[in-house]
Amino acid sequence: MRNNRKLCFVILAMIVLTSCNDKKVIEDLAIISMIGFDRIKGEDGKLKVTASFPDLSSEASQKDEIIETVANSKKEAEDLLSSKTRQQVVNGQIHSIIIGRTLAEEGVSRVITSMERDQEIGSQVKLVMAFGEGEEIIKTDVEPDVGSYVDKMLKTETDKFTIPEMDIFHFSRDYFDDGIDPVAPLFTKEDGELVLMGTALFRKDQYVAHLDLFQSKVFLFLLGKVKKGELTIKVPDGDNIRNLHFDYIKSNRKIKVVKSNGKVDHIQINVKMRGSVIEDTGAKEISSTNETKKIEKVIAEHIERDAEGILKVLKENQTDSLGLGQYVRHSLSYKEWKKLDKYEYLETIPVSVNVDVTIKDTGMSQ
Amino acid sequence: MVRRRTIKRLHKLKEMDQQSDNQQNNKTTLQELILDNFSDCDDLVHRTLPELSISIIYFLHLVNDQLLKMELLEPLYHASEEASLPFLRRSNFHKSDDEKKLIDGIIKGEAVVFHKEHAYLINISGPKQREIQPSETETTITGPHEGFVESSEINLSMIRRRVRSSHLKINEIPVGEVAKGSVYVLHIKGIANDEIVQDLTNRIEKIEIDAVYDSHILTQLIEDQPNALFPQFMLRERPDAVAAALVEGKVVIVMDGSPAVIITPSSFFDFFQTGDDYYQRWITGTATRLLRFGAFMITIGFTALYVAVTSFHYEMIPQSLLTTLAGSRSKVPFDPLYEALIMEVTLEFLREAGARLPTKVGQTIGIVGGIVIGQAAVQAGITSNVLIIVVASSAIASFVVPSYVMSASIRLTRFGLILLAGILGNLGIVIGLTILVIHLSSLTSVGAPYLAPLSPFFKKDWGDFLLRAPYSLMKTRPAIPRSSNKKKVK
Repeated sequence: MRNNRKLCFVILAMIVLTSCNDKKVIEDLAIISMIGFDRIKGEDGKLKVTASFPDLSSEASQKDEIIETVANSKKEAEDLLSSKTRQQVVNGQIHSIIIGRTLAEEGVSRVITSMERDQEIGSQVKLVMAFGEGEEIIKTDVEPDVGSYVDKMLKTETDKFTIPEMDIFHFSRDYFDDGIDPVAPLFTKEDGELVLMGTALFRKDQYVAHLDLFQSKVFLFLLGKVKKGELTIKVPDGDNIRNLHFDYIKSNRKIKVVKSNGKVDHIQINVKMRGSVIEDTGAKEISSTNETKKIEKVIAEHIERDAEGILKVLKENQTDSLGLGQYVRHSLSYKEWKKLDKYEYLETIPVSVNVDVTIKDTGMSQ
Repeated sequence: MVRRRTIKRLHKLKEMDQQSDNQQNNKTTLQELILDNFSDCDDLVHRTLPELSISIIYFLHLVNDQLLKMELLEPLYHASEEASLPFLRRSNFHKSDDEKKLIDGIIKGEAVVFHKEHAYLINISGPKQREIQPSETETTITGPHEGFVESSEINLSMIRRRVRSSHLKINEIPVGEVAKGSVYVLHIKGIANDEIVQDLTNRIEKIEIDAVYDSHILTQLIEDQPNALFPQFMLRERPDAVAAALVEGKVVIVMDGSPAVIITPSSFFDFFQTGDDYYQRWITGTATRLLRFGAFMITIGFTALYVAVTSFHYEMIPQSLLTTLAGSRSKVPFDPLYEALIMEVTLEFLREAGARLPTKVGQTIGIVGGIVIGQAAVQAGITSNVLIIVVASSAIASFVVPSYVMSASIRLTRFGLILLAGILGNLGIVIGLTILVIHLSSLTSVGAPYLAPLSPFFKKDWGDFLLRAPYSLMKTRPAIPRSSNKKKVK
């Protein structure tokens, strides 16, 4: 009796679990590592999809193959891509997607939502924007393949806090959130090489402007906590230009919404930084306390100036990449917030940046 | 069934024999009866010294020649014709008039001396057995090196010398209908659970079999679940381990003719312990024990994981490994499942061949195996490089498990997991592991839960489970033997 029941269970399991048989033998797969989306001009609503996958047919040659197709949607593209290779095209190892400028200007939400729905694609897939065409970036000849190259590049740069880390989960969260706009790393191709350009700023899901690499660094510590990083600051020093290399180990940001008469008066961003000066081409010795105090001030002023520049770019483009809207929302009631025209409001409200720099030491020579 | 029938027939024959014996008993003397019993045994020696009215019966090959000369023949030469022989009063002579006892004595290698109407038994058994040597299956680097031998007398003496206590009780039970053997049940009174001792004694007494040749056979006859995949009684060949088990409150079964001694009740995790765990410092002991559990995991699941990942879950492979893995798979014409099965079975062939062959030929096996499997198979495109590494490491890991019986069981479960992984991928592995856990937790060893102290959870036993805690922290006896005396030192 007991044995019968066991047998029944086994048979039942065999019937119920048959749908799990979706075999994907590794060498029969075209495992896409990077995929790019571009808009084709002239043709209505069509996407140009470029996919790169490492050729795994033998151990010796590890070149990446590139296939491209034109389709109406991402899933349709997948079918078309599959028909162009002898292997089965799979998405499970996509590490980054790159979006061309023309498509980004039009809006990327279509691609993002389609990626999010695919259960094969994890939410940690990195989102990258190309200053030109995404296709161009994918077709760059790098070792071992463009997918892992870009992945590695993004990892080292985000570890150094030069560019924001952006995966499709964060991107769509920022997109749907009512008080922040998404950003993405921006790549370009220069002399046949992949170059990191800076940070692309989006308004809703549309690309509007970008920050260069130096601005990106400043932008990152306006955005939140930064654990380490470095800045080279150029200060006029008499006839020469004084180079200060500021190595910060910690930076903390606080946003304060100052209200008067029940209305938001202005927004204050306070940044506290701690670090050391490694390089200084100035004439004076900086070991004295007075001199470090002076340098602290110089650096803080410099950063403040840069921050104001960034805020200007943001305001001009009516984008809220810093998430200031969230803080404003918190200080208002729901009704008041609902009534606001957020983008216009953010353009008009004054934002002040206050940087506090502490120099811990001035390097080994001290 | 056939065997049982023959046993029954034998029983009947015996009874008939005994009836005829009883009838004759009135007519013939004890001596004639015994000689009748041993008719057609050409190795039986029957010497008569009519002038001393003495006769001696013994088996030629079961006695020690020197002892025979010293204890029996020499005194007899000097003995004079007197009413009673003084040397027969020596302590090593046992007077007995029971026919059965005399026959058993002769079978065991004793000599029977008939003097007038009386019979005396003297133990002069020999020739010498294998000397005490280090156990080959259970070696330790530190710690004592002696291992059990085939003689139960020597084994029992080794145990007694380690457990010097009047509380160590030894109970002898005969087994085997045709070839008689002895089984000794050992326990320490006051520490061991009497119910377990009684239960085991009953189980041994109930065995109906022609002969038991080894304690490995005995375990299969008295185990709780003889059809289970895993052994429930642990077999050790080291007297120190057995003594430790006795003191913990476990029951020990020694069988004559077998160097393996049964320790029971045992849990699954006991099979992962060795003497070195205890002889080394506790940190190293713990580290090696954890290593062993790691090896267990690798043996069970590594190849299955390879199969699952390469045939279902390409997403799981780290990006940097992807090219290597797929590249080495690209030339292989088989599915990962068949590829893995071919390699695993080949490896089992090698292992089995290596275990049975004499050492001199065995070396060839290693070379052939290494070259054929390690290189030629990959070059010929039958298997991938990565699989070789996977199979080899899981094979090596399987030998890390100290108990050979257990490691054989584990190796077998591996095949089940590989099959499931090939059919259902990771889901299959999970199903397989679930079935394994269910099976293990349903097992018992003389009523003790097999997965203790993990399930049921005995917190106090965790000091000697995955870890080997310092001795100062292990103050209670384990829960599995259900000892009445829980505290270690009073």
